[in-house]
Amino acid sequence: MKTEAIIMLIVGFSLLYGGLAWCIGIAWFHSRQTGSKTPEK
Amino acid sequence: MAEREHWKNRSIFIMAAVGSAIGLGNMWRFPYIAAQNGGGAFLIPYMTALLTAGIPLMIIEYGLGIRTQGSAHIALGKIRKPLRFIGWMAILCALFINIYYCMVLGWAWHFLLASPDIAAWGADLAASKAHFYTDVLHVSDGPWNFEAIHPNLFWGLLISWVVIWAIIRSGLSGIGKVLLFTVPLPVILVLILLVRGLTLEGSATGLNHYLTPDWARLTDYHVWLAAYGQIFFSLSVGFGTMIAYASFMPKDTELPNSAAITSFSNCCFSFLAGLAVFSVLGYFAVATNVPMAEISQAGPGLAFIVYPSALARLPVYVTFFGALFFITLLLLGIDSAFSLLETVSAALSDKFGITRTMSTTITAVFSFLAGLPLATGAGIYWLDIMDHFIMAYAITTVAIVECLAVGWILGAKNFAAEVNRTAEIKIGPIFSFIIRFLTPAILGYSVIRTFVDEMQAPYEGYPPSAVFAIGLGTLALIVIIGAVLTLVPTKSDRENGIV
Repeated sequence: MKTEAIIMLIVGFSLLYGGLAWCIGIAWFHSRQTGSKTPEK
Repeated sequence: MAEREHWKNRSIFIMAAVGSAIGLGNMWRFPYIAAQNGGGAFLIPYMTALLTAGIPLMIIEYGLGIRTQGSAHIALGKIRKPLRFIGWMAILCALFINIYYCMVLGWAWHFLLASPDIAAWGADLAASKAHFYTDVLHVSDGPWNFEAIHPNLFWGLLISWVVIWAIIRSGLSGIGKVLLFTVPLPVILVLILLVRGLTLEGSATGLNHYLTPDWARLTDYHVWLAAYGQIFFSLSVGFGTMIAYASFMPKDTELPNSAAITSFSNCCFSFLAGLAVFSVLGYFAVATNVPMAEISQAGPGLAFIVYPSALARLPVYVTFFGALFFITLLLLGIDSAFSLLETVSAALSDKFGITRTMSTTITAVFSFLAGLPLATGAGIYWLDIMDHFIMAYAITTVAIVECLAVGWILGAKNFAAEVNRTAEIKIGPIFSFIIRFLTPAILGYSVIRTFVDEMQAPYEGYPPSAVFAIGLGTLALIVIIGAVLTLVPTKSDRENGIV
């Protein structure tokens, strides 16, 4: 594979999966701090 | 008024929204669009579009559903009464899209059953193409030549409708259980396809085609429009589904982060699917000595012609990987299809006060019957034209009006204040700018540009009579039925204060 394609593969994974992990992390952090915003019925 | 059903918890709600957003387009559209628009460089406009249009639109739809606890016509009607017409337009778009979406699922059922013979019918591109157009679709010579309803398509369509009817009829708890399979399983199956693809000789050729950045393309505004189009059309916004799903959550539900998780999940899957698609296509290109540019396709051409043909050339386990691929397509499509059915079913329940079973059955039977012309030899023409007109005009118009209604009438500041009460990520002036100016401008330009192109040459070179009758006919039906549903008041409308 070309080096620039490999770099974009890493960039793509970092941006998208990093973004998703960050959002899930925030949700997890808040649920730990305050309890789930939408508790199970 | 009967108490509204609710999702069991926030995770199930997000999973339902992700299942709805991730559909066939993630597998057969994103990889091609990315490769055609700068390869790896496309990630820049794509991320920009995700942050400045995708997530804000998702927040709007979640917000409208949660604050009103009702379907799209109630959600928009509570902002201004006449806007309930736009809500009905959105719901009717879901109805019409599902009519042809289930036909595509019907094709996938057929291909799944034909996968034991994939080595024969997918032996080369010509054989694969002949199999798709002749053996499966029985394509006629034009949109007005229906010939007959073909049994394979009829049964495929019927099975699709029975499956999604049964899922939706089971209620939110039943849907929640189905989602535990239909959402994670395609990810696992795509990972298996990816691992298989990466271990094939030539996969690097495909991945280079997909990922090598062409930075010069970033100065071309078409690339940016393609990125916004891809984000917009793949997130299931604009046809009331996210409003309906959000309406089944309590009013204190967190919004912006939920919207971000849904949107990022959708994009993550697209990126992964691109790797699975292009690694196998790269192998195929090397094996058949055909340039990548010639086999790189989007839509049904990729899913039902090129990719199966590439799988047919695998050294071992051809049938296994063929079946795996079509199961993936079915799983991707089923949760999008039942979310569309739920949108219409929930709206009818909200409007007429009928039970879920009744509204689901009425919608499914009507949609199945309306989809029968798509099971004829002219079906593919009708499907293509309907899809183009609904996506390019109706859905886009709904999304523009949603942005303007929330941004200017409800007030972006008021909406943000409401949302921020329970938000894990606060929204502010940037969100306001996006929904008041940026997104409506980009979507508006896209509609105008499509219309101008349409005036210069009929869509895809179809006969103008067909484009006019099928395309504009579909839009006219949406407007007329929407107007009737808007103007006929019901007890529920009065209770909701939207008439």
